[in-house]
Amino acid sequence: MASLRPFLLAAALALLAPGTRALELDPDVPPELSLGGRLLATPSHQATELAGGGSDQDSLIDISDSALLINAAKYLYRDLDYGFATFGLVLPDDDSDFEDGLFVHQLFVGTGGPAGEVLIGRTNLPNTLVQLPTIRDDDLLDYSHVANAHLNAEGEEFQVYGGLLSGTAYFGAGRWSLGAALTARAETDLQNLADPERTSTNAPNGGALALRYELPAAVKFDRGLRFAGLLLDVQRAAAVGAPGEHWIPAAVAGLAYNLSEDPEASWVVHAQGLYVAGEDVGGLASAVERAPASRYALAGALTYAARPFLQTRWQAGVAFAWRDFTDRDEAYGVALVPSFAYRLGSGIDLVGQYRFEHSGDGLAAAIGADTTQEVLIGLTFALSGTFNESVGQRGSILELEHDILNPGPATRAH
Amino acid sequence: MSYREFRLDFVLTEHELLPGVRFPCFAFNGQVPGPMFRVQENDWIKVVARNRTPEMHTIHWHGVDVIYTMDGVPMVTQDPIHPEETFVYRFQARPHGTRLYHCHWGTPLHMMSALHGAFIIDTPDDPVRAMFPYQRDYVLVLEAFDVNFTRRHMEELLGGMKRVNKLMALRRLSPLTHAFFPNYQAFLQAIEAGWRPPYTRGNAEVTDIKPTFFAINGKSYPATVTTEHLYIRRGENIRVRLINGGVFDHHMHLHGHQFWKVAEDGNPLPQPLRLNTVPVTPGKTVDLIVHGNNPGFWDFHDHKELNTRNNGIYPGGMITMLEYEDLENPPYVPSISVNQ
Repeated sequence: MASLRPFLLAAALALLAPGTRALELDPDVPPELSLGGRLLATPSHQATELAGGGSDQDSLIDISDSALLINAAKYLYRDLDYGFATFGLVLPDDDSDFEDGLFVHQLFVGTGGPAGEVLIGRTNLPNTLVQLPTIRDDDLLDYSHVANAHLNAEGEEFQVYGGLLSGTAYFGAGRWSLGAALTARAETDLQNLADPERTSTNAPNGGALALRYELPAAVKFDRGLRFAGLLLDVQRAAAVGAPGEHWIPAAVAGLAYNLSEDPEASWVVHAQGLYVAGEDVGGLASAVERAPASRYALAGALTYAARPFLQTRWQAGVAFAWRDFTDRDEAYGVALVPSFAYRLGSGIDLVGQYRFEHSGDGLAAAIGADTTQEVLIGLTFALSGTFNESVGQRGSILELEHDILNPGPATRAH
Repeated sequence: MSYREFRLDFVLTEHELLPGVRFPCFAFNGQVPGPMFRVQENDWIKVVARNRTPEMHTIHWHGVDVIYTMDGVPMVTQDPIHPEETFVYRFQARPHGTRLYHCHWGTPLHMMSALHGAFIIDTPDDPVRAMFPYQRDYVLVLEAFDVNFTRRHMEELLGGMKRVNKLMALRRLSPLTHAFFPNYQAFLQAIEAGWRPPYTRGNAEVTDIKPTFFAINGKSYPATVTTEHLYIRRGENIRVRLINGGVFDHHMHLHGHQFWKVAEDGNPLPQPLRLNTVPVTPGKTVDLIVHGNNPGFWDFHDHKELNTRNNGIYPGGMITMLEYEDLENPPYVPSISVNQ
């Protein structure tokens, strides 16, 4: 009977605390907790030359893309294996269909170890490879991401984030990873484009496979390749305005290359090519029509960071992008986005950006805009703090260069 | 002049404190604590110290009367030993007694690392041996580790030093980059020019060191059972040399015996003290003579009981045992417990 006492006690505790829904939870063994986020506030002004003539002006104090994240992690019975969970909120754009609401953009749980990691929940979709130096998440979204072919609604959140059941294997001393994911992009009723309703948020409707080579910036800060990746994405989407479904495959290749040997002046090039092997759709007027259309897109950026005395003081970047819908004449778009960030203090930056975007006649006629220019300037406050820091980190220098295993979740709040 | 020559390499290693607990640390020759020196008073010593880590180090011969350029204080008596550099220490071993050596690059990461070791200078005219004849002596280096702090800061240091070492290789390391100044006036001028010291508000990291593992000669109980027990026989004197290699206080208590405290800081006391608990504060050495007059198995542990835990679990940490070798049919023999 005495040997059964711990089990009976655990069962009693479970009954007393049904909200925890854990087999056994010891509150005296707390997880590592990370709090991260960014508050981004930028007065901005946008001027658009309309395709049909005339212009449109729009100004706002933009606080979208501000986000808050909480991570938890804990080692399992063997302290090279770990479990982790993340909860995050982001503020959508002013013109989003989620206006005035907070969007849960990160909500996942996972487990991992030295060889790999499994993640289930909502997080960034595996539909892009490089991060361009733009101030806001959606500044070049149309060029850098494989678009959601299920959604006829405004809202970058449902382009960037989605449901995921993914597994990633790490090899080559952690420098290489191969990931496979079942993806769930949000869906709207595509048979009724005039008044669409969301029909699903988490139903699986695609998949992705990604091969990545990556060295953290802390390891690879001098000349050479820091990142290279190849991504294959596929969506099974309903045809717009017609019955039936079809496959929409896409391929993305990207890299990041350090140009400088100087730790106090970093020059980095990012480049990405994207191809959607779609089909000739009826038009390009709406996002859901453009998403499954055949297109090429290139995006690249050159970033310079001034780091006197090895502390980042300011960063300037210029991102450029091009896309072309191959089945339509003159249906191309180009964009140029120079940006600047000046470090006022740890995590506090003064930021500014100019965005120029021009569409060829074929695309301009469809989306109604010929040229768009936007200027923004503002402040960001980023925070990152970890409490009960007890879990390692993937891609650590200890592992990469000293063969000392110290694994931890690949995804954390920053 | 003939030297007794030794090699000490600064190494980044992963050390096992006890089964299931390993952590990265700097250590001499990869050992925790570093190898023990056993030399005779007035020997001439040559130590070839090679830095095989990405961090800077020195060696301070604590309690040894060296000439000042061999004292190992960075920026005071020598430049720090840079990665892959070698520095040769030459000095005469004096005075006799229980001494120690440690890296004097005193960052918090170094405090939670393991760059320390025993430096024992013997003499044929040892007054302690004359007063208390003994054959066997034991050296116990007392240590405290915050392994989470060490893991985290080792990672940050490795990242930061890559850039520092790159600038050094490019011959572009400036005083401001690494906060090295030729004199105080240059330090003041840098602040006036806009440079902000790393300890100022908005720049300073919150350094919160909470040691969770305590060790004797690199091992925490119950791993101390294998190598760190003190053995004695009835009627025998043994000498126990305690060295605090860490930055926390320890109060070593021996059960069942009144021992003699015979030396402090390596120097014999004019009058031995009869004690059963002795404080060993950071940088201190204390020599004890234990007389075998109470056969049995006797706890010898830090009586600051918070230090007799492993990650908060008692018993653990700084516990070892005085064990009589000539016990016949003991009525009770110790076993192992790790979770009470």
